[in-house]
Amino acid sequence: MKYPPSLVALIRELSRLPGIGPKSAQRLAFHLFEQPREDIERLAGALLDAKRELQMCKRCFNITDRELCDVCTDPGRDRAQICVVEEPGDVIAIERSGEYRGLYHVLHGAISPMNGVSPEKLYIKPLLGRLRGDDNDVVRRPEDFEVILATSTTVEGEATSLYLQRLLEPLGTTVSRIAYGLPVGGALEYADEVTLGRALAGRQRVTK
Amino acid sequence: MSSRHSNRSGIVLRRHVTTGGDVILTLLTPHGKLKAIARGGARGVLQSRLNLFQHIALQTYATPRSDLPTVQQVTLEGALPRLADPARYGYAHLMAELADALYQEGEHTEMAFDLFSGALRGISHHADPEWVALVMGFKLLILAGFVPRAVTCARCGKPDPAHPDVLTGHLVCASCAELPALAPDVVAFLRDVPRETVRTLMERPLRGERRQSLWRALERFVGLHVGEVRSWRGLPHEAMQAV
Ligand SMILES: [Zn+2]
Ligand SMILES: [Zn+2]
Repeated sequence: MKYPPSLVALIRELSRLPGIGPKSAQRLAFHLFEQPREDIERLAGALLDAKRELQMCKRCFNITDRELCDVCTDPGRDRAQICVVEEPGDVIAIERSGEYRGLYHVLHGAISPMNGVSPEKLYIKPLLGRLRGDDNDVVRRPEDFEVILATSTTVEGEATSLYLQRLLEPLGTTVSRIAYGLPVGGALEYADEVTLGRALAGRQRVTK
Repeated sequence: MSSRHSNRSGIVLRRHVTTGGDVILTLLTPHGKLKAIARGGARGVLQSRLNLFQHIALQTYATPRSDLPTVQQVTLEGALPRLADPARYGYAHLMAELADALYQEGEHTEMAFDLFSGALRGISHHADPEWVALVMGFKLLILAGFVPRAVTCARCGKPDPAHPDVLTGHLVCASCAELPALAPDVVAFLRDVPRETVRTLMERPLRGERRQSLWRALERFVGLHVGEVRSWRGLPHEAMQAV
């Protein structure tokens, strides 16, 4: 039996999504077919709305539905602090921690030569622009900023962090790296050896 | 333990995180290449062990329904954190990309594993990671059977060729050549690299322009035998060239 052309087209489009193989695409297509028409219209509408309205914040490259995102326009934020992350999802994670009141900069990836991701493919140049005071009425000189490198602790994230460190230090910018920590509420004995090793190397003095 | 379980140990050549949070790993092991999937590996307790260039031991389980064996347990056998250093990082990527392209799945390549792990260790620790990458790049190709022709002209067979061939990276004689001759020590390196030990080659580093012509030879040679290699653009020496 051959599938009707419109079903073939749907499966083909679904299987182009990341993480969806041909089998999952087929399963999803059959699932969608069984849904009421209103649900499908809502889904299609949501896809179109998202595509129409969502964009990258012109300043920090986070996802937003306006020219500048909520963080960039929030007057209560410390404009001398920029936290550099790999993905928009990382901004949400840090926001949830409630510990940070500065601005962000989303690189959209980490340096990975074997995957064709060179520093030029990331949003590093606009970061340098921000440190020179483009778009910032309050802080204007690189040496007045603190950049917090919050790329992931994978080799790619580490390499990106070290690259930025070498790039920013000569500008006089204060550069810091988020600490490698142990999971809060966890017993040492269950921590993996890599995390434990890094946590020891990055220990902090508690006496004066 | 059933026959569907297997225990393997190897170095992570590639690591891909799917949108579902699974980690697909390609490892080079002493018994050839191995691909496996760690379900939920990007979030779970295993994530710090599933990193690029790490030497890990895995227990995998092959399910009849899935084409990739599933990672069940991972222990760390060795890590080289200095490979994240911008002066070393690009070379490690080049080695991994070459090993991934040259040594196919299921091939018995204990020597390839030793050579590749030696290359990563060298790039991590040596004061001159660029020279390590050049020597080991040629060695990885030679072990896979791709030997640069440098004793006789690659086109006509005359002895003592000294000119690079534009397309292949082999050496050709003056009458077959389109490009000017290479410096004598560059020619000597290309002639000696198949038979000399890594240690001997490491003791005689070439520098400056000579090193550049060896990179060009390696690039041509890789282009011929391996095809497109994306890491070239990530190499620090290229950045220096551009300056
Ligand atoms: Zn923003
Ligand atoms: Zn000839």
